[in-house]
Amino acid sequence: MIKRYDALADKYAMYGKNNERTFYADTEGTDKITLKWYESTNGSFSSTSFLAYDSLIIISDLSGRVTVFQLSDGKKFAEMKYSGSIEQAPVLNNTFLLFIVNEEKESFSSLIIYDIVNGKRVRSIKLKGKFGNELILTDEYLFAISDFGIVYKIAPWGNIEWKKELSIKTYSNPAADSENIYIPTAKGDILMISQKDGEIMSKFSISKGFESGLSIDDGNLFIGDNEGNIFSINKESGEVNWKLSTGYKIVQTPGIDKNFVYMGNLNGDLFSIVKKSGQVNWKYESKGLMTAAPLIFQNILFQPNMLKSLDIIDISNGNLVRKISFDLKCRTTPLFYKNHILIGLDKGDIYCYRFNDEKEEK
Amino acid sequence: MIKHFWKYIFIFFLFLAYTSNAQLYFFGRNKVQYEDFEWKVLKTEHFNIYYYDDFEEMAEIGANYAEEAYDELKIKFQHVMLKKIPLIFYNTHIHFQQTNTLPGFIPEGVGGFFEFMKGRVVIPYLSSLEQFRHVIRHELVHVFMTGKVLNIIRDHRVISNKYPPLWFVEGIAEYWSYHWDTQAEMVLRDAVLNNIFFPLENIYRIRGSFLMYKEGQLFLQYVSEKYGEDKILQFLENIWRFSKFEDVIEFTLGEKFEKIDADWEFYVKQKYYPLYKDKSPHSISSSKLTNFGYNFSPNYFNNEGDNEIYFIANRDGYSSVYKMGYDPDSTDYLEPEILVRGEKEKVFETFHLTKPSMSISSKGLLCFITKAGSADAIHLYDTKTEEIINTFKFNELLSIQAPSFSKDGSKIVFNATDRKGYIDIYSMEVESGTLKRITNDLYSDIDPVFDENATKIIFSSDRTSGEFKQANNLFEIDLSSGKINYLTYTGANLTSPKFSPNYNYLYCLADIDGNKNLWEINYQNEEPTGMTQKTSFITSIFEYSFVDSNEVITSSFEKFSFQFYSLKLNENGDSLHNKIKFDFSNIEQAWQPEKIVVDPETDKFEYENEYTLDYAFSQFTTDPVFGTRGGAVFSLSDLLGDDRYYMVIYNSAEYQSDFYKNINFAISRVNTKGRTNYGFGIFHFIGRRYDIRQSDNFFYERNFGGFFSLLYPLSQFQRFEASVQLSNSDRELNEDFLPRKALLLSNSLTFVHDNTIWSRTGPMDGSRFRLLLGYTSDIKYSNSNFYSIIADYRRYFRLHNRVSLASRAAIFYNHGKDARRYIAGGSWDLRGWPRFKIRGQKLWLSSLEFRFPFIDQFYLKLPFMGLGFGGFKGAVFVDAGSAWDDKYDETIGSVGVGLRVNFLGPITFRYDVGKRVLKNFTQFSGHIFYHFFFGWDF
Repeated sequence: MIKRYDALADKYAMYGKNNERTFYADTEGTDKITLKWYESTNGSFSSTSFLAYDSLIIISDLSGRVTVFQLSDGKKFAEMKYSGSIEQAPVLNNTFLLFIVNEEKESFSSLIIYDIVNGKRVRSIKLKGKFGNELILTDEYLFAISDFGIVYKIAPWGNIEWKKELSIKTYSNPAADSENIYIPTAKGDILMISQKDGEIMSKFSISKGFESGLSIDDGNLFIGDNEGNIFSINKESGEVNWKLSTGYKIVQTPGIDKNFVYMGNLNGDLFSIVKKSGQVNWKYESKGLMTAAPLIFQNILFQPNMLKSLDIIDISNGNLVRKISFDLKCRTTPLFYKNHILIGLDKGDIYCYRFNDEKEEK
Repeated sequence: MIKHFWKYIFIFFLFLAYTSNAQLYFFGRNKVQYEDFEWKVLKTEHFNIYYYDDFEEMAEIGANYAEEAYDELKIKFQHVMLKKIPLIFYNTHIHFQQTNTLPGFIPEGVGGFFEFMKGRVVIPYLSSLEQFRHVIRHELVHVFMTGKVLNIIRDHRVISNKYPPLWFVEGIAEYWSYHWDTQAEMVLRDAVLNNIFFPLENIYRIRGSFLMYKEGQLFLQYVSEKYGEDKILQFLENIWRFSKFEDVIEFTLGEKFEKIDADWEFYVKQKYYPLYKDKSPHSISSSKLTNFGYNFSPNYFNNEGDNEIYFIANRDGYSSVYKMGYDPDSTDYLEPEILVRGEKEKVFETFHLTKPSMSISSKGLLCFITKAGSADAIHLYDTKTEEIINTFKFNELLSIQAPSFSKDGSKIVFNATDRKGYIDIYSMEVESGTLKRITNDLYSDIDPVFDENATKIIFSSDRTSGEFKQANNLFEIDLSSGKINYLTYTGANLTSPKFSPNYNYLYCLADIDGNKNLWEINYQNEEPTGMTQKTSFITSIFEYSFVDSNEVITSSFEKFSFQFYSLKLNENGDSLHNKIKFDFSNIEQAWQPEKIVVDPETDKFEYENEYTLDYAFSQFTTDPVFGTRGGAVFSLSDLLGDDRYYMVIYNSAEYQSDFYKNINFAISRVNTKGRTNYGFGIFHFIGRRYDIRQSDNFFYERNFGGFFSLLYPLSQFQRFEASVQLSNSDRELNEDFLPRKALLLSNSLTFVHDNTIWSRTGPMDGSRFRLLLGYTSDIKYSNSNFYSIIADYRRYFRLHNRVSLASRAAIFYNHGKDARRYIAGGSWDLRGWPRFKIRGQKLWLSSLEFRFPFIDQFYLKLPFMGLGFGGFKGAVFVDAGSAWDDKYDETIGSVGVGLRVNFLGPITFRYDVGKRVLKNFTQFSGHIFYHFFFGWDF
């Protein structure tokens, strides 16, 4: 697919860029963005995001396709088609692109390992159940967690190192630090699993149920629950640092910058909360539905809204700076890459915007 | 082929234009638009709410319920609707039945619907604000679920026929809209304890039934309890993955479907079997008085020593007023007699069977309610003279229920719904019909009864405030002061208050233990302090009537039927000493529902027709001989379905050069907004026509013109139709035909009557009649000039519940210059004779057919699958008729037997075997004919 792999090339190799899932771009953002191109994939998207490598954007969709576009002009570079659905962003492990296809008419899913240099599928590994949660990629291994709580640790070549059946249900994007994986459950627990052997290191009983994603920052876990509470939890002890009620169920994965946590609920309210204290900094009421995580800059954030808009909000006061309206629902967390913002809409539409004050591309 | 296709499409639409409001074109009952509603629109954040006349306050309350539901469902489904949802409110079920958003009749039991094509939600205001809220929420679950599923299907780009089965669709609509209520509990108790429960594997067998709704609801409640609430949405999220919903269930719950189903069945049995410990079926603890039909509103009357029950029942397809003897010790079921035959004429158009709608005075005067045209009417029937002595209708009252006489029989008290949607108490003087409104507010006040001296009225109402807000408690209004007092204060629903014959005790039905049982309140006290349970049945008592202080007749639900039982109140088990004390200290100020009040300048306005496409389809074919040809059919209508446009266009050219000349089109408009329906349109029709005089010959004809038609329903059962058509007919020269030009003016006037009821294959009771008088003349060239008479009478005699004798006599008569010929032959009239074989300007037909059930059910168990068939009906028939132009030829006919079976509702397959009869019925033809066809019995 590509002529050679450059390990030093820019890349955005997984959902949330890192396993802590902070969705933070440590740079100034701007609302002065211009549409550069728009394209379509075959299927629509879940609340996931896209990958990037060098000059390419890699996008998985719900119709079982992985499509690669050129960042410069949106030209389709490659497309892989599978029978089923891909609900999470692929991960890029050196020259291998890894993603899970939820197979149509089957009760299993397939982990696909695709060699992007040679342009061919290397392996396809059957995994039991459905995979709706985002993948975790450490330096060496891939971790995949099924909705029924089966955790797989998979080596770069596709060998399953270990498999752990947790007998839980999880619809939440997990997060990881250097040693452990943190898995929120549908019953309101957070399991700390050792990356080494899959052993359950701790179980924190926090809430009545989680469906939101988890983020990690500064030794704490951040998550929202089905009753609309946002929690800050000490990742070692499981102690709740603070809890804030927003009133409505949360499924979004929180975004985190240096001082604040940003989390929206299904009533369309986005909260900026002081990371340390849990105090509300501001609340933005969109009246929409927030399922995808925000993309955060030093000064503004981009929040996708199911009510057909991408809301650009001043993070200092929560004021709406600009609302970019579409004909379709905004589905994915925006990807910021090389001064471009990419967002996925319903029906597989992809819009690529460029910062107007674009300097030389890195 | 395509030419014929478009021709038939054209004919279909032309015909539709004339007759769309008559439910079955030739006969059919009428959906009468009794009222000319002034529609208004109220715009809220997510809804456009359509309402009319005085219903504004309820519409504002409904708007608030809808917005509340939207906010909840947005979160449950994790889905938003991108367009405003049209919500159409009717203030009663009677008005709801007039809606044009659905073409067919709406039965009594339908409480609202979501119409998929235009995304419309149509809801009547029924019994209370609580029910209004429930129905709004139920239908909005449909809206969200449909939107969600369509999104998922589209997102995954899979084939679009994946949709949950009806039990799930209705189950989720109930589960996410309302709590598990008394009615649900009653139905499930009855089903499980009487082995009428259908696990998921067989739930298709109760498709569309109330039991299916409730099984679906309880299954989802069970899933939520056992597997987690998240699984409900997961069923939908996973729907793209499998073509069978059983696989979706299996995958989502992570267990084998058979295991899930077995566990579910075990769960309901475990839940309901213990009820036998301290509750009993009606058939065990009381004497069953009836064993057939649906029997309601029992009223005991001692007729000079004769014990009688007057009641309303449906025992033969028509609801009627019945009388039967009362003898609880009889070993046989006594046969009731019909006093007033209902649902065959306008004045008794519909009985509200499941609502209390009858009362008898101490003097034997019977009062009962029916729908009579645009609203309900109160009928007074003298049981001595056995005749209706008076009928009262009140312009402001649309729906009337629960009549009850005062002790001296001079007054009747009842509850009724007015044009605002308020359900209030009224009293009426029997002699004069003078009406007095007793309550006037938005609370639902029902089931009123007078006290002994008719100085107070006791009634049930949802005006309960405080701890038990909106529960139905009993209230008492002092008729002199108008003051309303609480008589009871519980969290249960207390309805149907009645005094014991000595007026010392007040009884009511209360759903305290999950179903409606009889409770007793000592009315001798200044203020009732509590009540005592008198019955403990597994399933509910619906209505009851006192025989004496210790004996009542109940109409109760058991084994999915409503039968009468005789019950001794003090002979129940010792366990029935449950008592409830009333604590009136928690009563607060009257509750008020929240409303959405919009800006009248910007968000409230008069309705104007908003047309959108109903359907459109086109077909193009390429033929090696005729080349490429095609056309399109489409229909537009306004949001309320009152005004429709039908359009068809196609081309019948056989040469390219003829393309423009051979454009065929028809455009018609049908308006059904008012009581008088009208339609008009224009058409241009050109092509090759076969001459029905000589079937092998054809000619070319260009026919263009216009038509106008009127339809005026006298009632649901009768109507007049009138039509005028002007058409220019130009027949071209052909080797067998001379050219003919004509400017034809056709007029007709028709009277239609139809009060039949149907089985699955055709009519089985009642009568149908059509009389048409018409005149056609060529007003320009005088090439054609003839008159027409059609008289077609059909009568169906019910010999037994499922056996009937159908008869038909018809004459079709055209006379004059160039009169058209009628045709006969084929499965619908003269069976055994080929279609078009019998032709003549004059034609008569008669048929006699004996219809009976043949095979109810048979099942083929094949090694790889099973196939079940059911509902086969048999027929023995004789047909006779003849056709002629000038001179009568011979009478012909046929005799034979047949088999009919309905397939999926609209299609009936028919197979006939018989012999033709020739020469004035003196000779059989030599061979046996076999006819296979589809269509209803005549």
